[in-house]
Amino acid sequence: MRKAESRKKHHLRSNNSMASSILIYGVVIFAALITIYPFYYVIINSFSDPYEVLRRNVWVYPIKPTLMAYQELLHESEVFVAYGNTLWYTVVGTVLNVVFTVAAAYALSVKSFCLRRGVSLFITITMFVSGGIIPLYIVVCKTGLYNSRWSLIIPTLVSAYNLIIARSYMESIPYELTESAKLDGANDLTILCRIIVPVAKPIIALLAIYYAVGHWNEYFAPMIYLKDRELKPVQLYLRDILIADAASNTQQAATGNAKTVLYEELKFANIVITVLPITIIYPFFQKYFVQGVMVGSVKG
Amino acid sequence: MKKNFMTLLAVLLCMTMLAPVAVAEEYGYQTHIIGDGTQTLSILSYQNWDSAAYYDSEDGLLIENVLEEITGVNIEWECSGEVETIAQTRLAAGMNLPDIIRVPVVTGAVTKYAEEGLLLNISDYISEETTPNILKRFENPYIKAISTAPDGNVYALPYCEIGTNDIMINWGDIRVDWLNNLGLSMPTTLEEFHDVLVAFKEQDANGNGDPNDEVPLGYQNNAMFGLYCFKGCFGLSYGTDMWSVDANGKVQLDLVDSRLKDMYRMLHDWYEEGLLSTDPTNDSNNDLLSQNRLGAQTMLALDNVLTNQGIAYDLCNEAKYEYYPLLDNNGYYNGYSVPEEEKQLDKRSNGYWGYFAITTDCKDPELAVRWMDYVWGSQECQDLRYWGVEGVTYEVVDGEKVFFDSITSTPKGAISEMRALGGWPNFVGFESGEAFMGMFKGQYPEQAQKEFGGYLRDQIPVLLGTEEENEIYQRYWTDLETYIKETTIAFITGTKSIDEWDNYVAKCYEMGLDKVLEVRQAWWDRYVEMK
Amino acid sequence: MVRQGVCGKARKNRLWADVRRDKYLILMVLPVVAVFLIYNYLPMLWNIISFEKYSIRKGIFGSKWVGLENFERFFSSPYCWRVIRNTFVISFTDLILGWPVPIIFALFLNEVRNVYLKRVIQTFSYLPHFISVVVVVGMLKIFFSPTSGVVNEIIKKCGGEPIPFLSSANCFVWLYVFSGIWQNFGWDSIIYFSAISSIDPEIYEAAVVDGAGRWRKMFNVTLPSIAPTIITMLILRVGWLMSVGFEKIILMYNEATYETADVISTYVYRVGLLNSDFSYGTAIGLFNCLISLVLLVGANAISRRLTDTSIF
Repeated sequence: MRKAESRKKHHLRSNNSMASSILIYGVVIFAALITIYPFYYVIINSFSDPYEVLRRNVWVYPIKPTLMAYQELLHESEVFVAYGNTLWYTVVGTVLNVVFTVAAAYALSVKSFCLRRGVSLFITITMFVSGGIIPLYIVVCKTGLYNSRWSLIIPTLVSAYNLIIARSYMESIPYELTESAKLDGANDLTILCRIIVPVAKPIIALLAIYYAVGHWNEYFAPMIYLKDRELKPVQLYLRDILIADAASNTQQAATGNAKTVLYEELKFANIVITVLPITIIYPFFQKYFVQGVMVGSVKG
Repeated sequence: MKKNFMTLLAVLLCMTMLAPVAVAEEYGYQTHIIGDGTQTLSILSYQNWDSAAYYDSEDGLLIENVLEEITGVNIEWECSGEVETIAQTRLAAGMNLPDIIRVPVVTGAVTKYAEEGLLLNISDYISEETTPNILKRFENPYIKAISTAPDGNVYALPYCEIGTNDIMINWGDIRVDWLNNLGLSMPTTLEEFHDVLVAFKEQDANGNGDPNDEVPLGYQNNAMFGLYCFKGCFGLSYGTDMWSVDANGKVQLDLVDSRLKDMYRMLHDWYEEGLLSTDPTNDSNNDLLSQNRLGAQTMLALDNVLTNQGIAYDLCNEAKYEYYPLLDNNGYYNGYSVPEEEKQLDKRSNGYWGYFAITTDCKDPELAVRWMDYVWGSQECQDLRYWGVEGVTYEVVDGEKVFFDSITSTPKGAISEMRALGGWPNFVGFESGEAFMGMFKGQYPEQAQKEFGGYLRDQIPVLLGTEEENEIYQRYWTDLETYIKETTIAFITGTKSIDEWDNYVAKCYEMGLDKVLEVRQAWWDRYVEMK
Repeated sequence: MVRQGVCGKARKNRLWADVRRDKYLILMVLPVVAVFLIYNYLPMLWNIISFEKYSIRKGIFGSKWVGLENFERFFSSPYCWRVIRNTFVISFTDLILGWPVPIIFALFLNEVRNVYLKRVIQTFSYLPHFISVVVVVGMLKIFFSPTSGVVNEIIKKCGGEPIPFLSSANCFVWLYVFSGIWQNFGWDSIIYFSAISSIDPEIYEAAVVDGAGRWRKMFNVTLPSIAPTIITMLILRVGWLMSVGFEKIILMYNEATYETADVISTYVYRVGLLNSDFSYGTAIGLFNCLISLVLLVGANAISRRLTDTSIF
């Protein structure tokens, strides 16, 4: 009797769980579809015949595949120099960003730190109050960074937003973890390196992604701080091509239709070239977002 | 012996590689007329509008190289697609200024930066000796007027489009082959034009079997707002200029003229009938063209007529766009019949686009002024930059320059071909209308020019205002323009009833139309005086 | 949050004791503080020109003082209230609809047991973030075009009248907000994934022992565990209410939608004054900053009282 009841209950519950599984899987798969399709749309358009692109005929697969747009964008070897620069800015920038952010975030997460509230406020304010581009430009030039690679690294050494995210993550790290080390006489530097960093891998991975993507996509700062073409990142390089083509279409045409037609496709190819390399970084960091990282270290 | 020969070869090879390739002399130009080849001027300007040929590329571009050799001055390029932002930042910071800069295109920028002491007063160097070419250009009162600041000095030289502007038509085009398909003739009155649009809408004009996919009237320049170009059918001038001068020399804003009330009523009815594109921007234009679905357009520049044809051509080999005539009006929506001799079509623009100035950071101002004088002012240089090099881009037949086919008959288009060689520049320029028409020998633009050229009327010029004038103009006109555009579209689409016309006009005055008119009046008066 | 430091009490020896105790911590924040001081605070001085008629030659300290003239000018503009209203309407809608979506997505995805599926979906979801605004808006225009867009083709097939989405003032806010959510929910959810991954599995195990089902685990374990992150994000978003995506609106709006689409930043851009009248542009920027600060401090205070989480 009781057994039957329990089985019935179990049955009900699994029905219930079936329904919720359908709901959950339905929602996330729907989300995946609506996000991947536009990306797919961009890719198939970048490989299709320009006329078909302009006519909006490309929806499911590339029509009359061609590499025209890529030839237009990649025809000069200079693009590889630009890629190299972007890589430099991304790697060097991200490493420095992460190091300084993690250090500062840890310091600000220590509840007994005497400057904690003051510095937090000091940094938060910068997210909302700024002087604009011109005074920043003046300061960057006056500190001797104009036309130097470091102009893209030092002024944005730490992003206030990322710092706050990292800080709140570290605040959630159990107090006991650091307390015992402190009792053993470890100083803050040791605690940071030995205890916090291993535990904070998910947030470090997050910071790395945020910063790397930020550096990779940056075009405004290099545009105004860099003068030499040899220093310019790929975003800027490709942007100039697009602008040149847009301008030749609108400012005074008499350009033949070939260029006008190709322009639409160039925009798509541009995304594929600039975006694809950086999108692949996510899976590399993804493993750090898997549950249990912290627990392992607590127990270990 | 063999070894010696090889050495000789190597030496020769080295020499050819090291020695500057003196092409300019080869083409018969006198070289080093300004500098001796060691001086350098830095220029901050747009990147070449041909993505395959950058001004600052390693080997340079033919025409720019020739120019450098002729002047004997090397150009140190700093090019970007976003030169406006870059120039803006540096000027505002007053730092890292190049020798020659493109002054950002904002009302009052030249006056402002000149006032701030960032731009060199070119007038100090103007003389028969140093700047013969500039003085020659200034014999044209219009050029002098647009180059001179209110204090009488010259701080910057405009990029002149007068040459092209004098022949450039901006008017609506229509699919001639569709007219033929439907057995219609070219409309000559506004009412006939309406009937043609209705036919485009209701019948299968493109012959693809679907009578509903045609969009009768789309927009180009100024998008839906640009429909005001039909004001010509209601007693004003046809085309793009919102301003006019009445018989007493008073500047007027056409768009508050009560005669337009009927025009907006008509456009609203057209909208309701589904004759107008429902996209108030011109974003979907190229899609529709390439889909072979667009019947007519408003305010299209002359050179684009061919481009349109080219885009539609792939689906429909008969595709043919031509301008429709300046439509008559015999009482359609209370319109006026404008006598043929009074019909006026506005020119595309003021005839210049942005200014180039020498900054006060320039180490050798005289050199820079003389460089500007030659590049901006001389006929020789204009020919070089807009026609190219004789024997390479054009030849002279019976005393007339004719472009080679390698320039005019490519899918890339003539201007792009020239740009690939460094021609048709976007810096310190003085466009040649003759070269422009030269690209269209025997093509439709030539015919259109003959047909419409006689109607062209100068726009009411925008001059370099005083600081005060610029401030007033900026402060009031921007809001007004927003309001006028918004209301125009609301009238057409019916979100606002035309009965509110009087309120609209009153609101315009309330928003400072008087003050704007005063400023424009002052500019006009100064212009008339200089003339 | 209870302050345990006694920094406020200005007893010198206490201060020194603090400094000595926290020397490594101070060392850790020092470079960051220096960078912020030089590259953020120094440029803030420039805001002084909001009260001046700025001249490049005379500089910040030498230009003519005009008091509140620049602010008065903005407030007397006929469009002032409209752009302030639109700024708030757009960003509030965005906040209310856009803030929960990444959280829900992260919670749901967390329930997906198949590791590969989970990873693939996660990777897909953040891809749109990388598509530039220009192209996103371009695609919106293609998909929603009244003449050839897919959406309107479907509406027509179902017997409806095509809707000019992009030129309708009523549709603008929705189109703006939903396209924004679509583009960013995956990216924004990364931070929640990272927070979820730090939850101790033992808590879940304990919950299971107590007989908690999937939903109860979600509401009673996961959600409370990531609450600090959620609140932090909310506070930041409230502070950002005034800064709506300028570039996107510029690309999306047109004269037919100004009524609901024109915001402060686009207005300033169109007025063109930012370009040459630096004082006026800076004044409006400063006004924006002040409102943001008020919102931020308010949200932070409320949150500190209600949830014990705060940014400062």
